[in-house]
Amino acid sequence: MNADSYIYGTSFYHVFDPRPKLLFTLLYAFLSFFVSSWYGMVLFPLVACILFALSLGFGELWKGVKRILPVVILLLVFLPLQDRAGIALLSFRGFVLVTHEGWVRVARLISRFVSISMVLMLFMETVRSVDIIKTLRYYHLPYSVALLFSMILRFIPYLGSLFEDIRDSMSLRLNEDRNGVPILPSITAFTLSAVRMIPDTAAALEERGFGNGRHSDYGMLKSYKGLFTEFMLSAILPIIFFVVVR
Amino acid sequence: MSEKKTALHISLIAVSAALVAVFTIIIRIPVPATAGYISLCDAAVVFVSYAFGPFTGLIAGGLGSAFADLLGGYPQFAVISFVVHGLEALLAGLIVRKDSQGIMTRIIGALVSIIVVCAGYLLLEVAFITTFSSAIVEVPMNALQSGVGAVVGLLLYSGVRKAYRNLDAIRW
Repeated sequence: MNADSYIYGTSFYHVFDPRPKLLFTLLYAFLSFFVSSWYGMVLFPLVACILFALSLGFGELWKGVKRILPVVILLLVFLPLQDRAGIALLSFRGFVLVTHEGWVRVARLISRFVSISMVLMLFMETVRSVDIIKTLRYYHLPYSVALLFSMILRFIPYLGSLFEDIRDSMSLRLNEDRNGVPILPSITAFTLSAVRMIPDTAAALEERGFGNGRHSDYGMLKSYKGLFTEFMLSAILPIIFFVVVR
Repeated sequence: MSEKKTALHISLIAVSAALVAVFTIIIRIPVPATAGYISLCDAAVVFVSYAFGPFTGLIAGGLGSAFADLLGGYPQFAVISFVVHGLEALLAGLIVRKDSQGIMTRIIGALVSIIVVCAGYLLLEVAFITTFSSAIVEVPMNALQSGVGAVVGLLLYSGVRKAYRNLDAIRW
C-alpha cells in the first residue's frame, strides 16, 4: 500500500513550487464559490480540467472525472425537484420538469464541485507527501503537528500491510470447505497489534530526542530567485481569471 | 503537560488516525445485494473514541478519515469527513466515559455516532456540495454503513479490551 497519491511527471505544474501551488489551489477553490455567470460556470471547471490533463494526461483526467461523476449524475437526476415555482424551461404534459432557477442552482453546484475537486486532486497528485508537509511547515504549521502528520503517513502503509498479513494468516485457519476471510477475528488481531505499538512508539520518540529540544527538524524547501514570481503568478492569475469570467 | 505525556499523546493519535485510515481504505465488507462495499471507517472511529477517550477520538477520527479521503483520491470530501467523523468520535467518547462503560451506555454512544454521521453528511453536503434532494438519497447508505460500523466497533472494543488490559493506561 502506498501512502502517497503523487504521480510522477515532468510537466510545468509538477515543477511549479508546492508553496505557491498550494496558494493557487486554495485561491482557485475559494473563488469558485463566487462565480455566477454562465461563462464562469463553464470556464472555471473547464480550465481546471485542462490544467489536469496537461499535467497528468487524459487517462488520469478520466480517472479523476470518474470519481466525481456519481455526485454530478445525482445532482442532474434530482434537477426536476429544484425550485419548482420558477420559470418553466422544460415541461411534459403540463408537468414542469426543469425551471430556470433550478437549472442555474444545479449548474452552479456542479461547476463549483468539479472546479474544487479537480484542483485539489491535481495538487495531491503533483506534490509528494513529504513536500506537502514541508510546505505546511513553511506556512508555520507547528513542529508537533508536522511530526504527527508524517507519522500518520508512515503508519498507514505499515498498518495496511500488517492487516493483509493477519487477514491472510486468519484465512488459513478456516476449514478446507470454507472460503473467504474471517473479518472480525482479523480486525481484532490487527487492532490489538496496532494498539500494542503505541507505548513503543512513544518510547522511540523520546529516545530520538522528542521533548528535550535535541530532535532533528524537517528539511525546509529552499528559497530561490523565481519563488516570488511564482507566488505572484499564483495569486494574480486566478484573480484576473475570476474578474474576467465571474 | 510533561514531555513524556506529549510523546505518548502524539504516538496515540498517530497510530489511531492511521488505524482509522486503514479501516477506511482497505478493510471493506462486500454487500452482494448492491455489488458494492461497506467501509468500516466508523468501526475504527467508535473503537478509538471508546478506548482512548473523546479528544483522541476527535483528532484521530477526524484526521484518519480526512487522510483516507486525501490519499484515496477524494480530497474534496476531506474537510467534511474531518468534521463529521471528528464530531462522531467526540460525542461517542463523551457518552462512554472511563467510569461509565455499561452496555447501555455503549449502545447509546453507538446510536449517537450513527445519527451524527447521517445528519453531518446531509447538512454539510447540502451546505457546500449538493442539493437537499440529492443528498437525502445518500442517508440510507450512510445509515447502513455507520450502523454496521458502530456494531463492529462495539465488538472490536470488547474484544481488544479483554485481550489488552493496559488499554485504560494509555487513554487520554
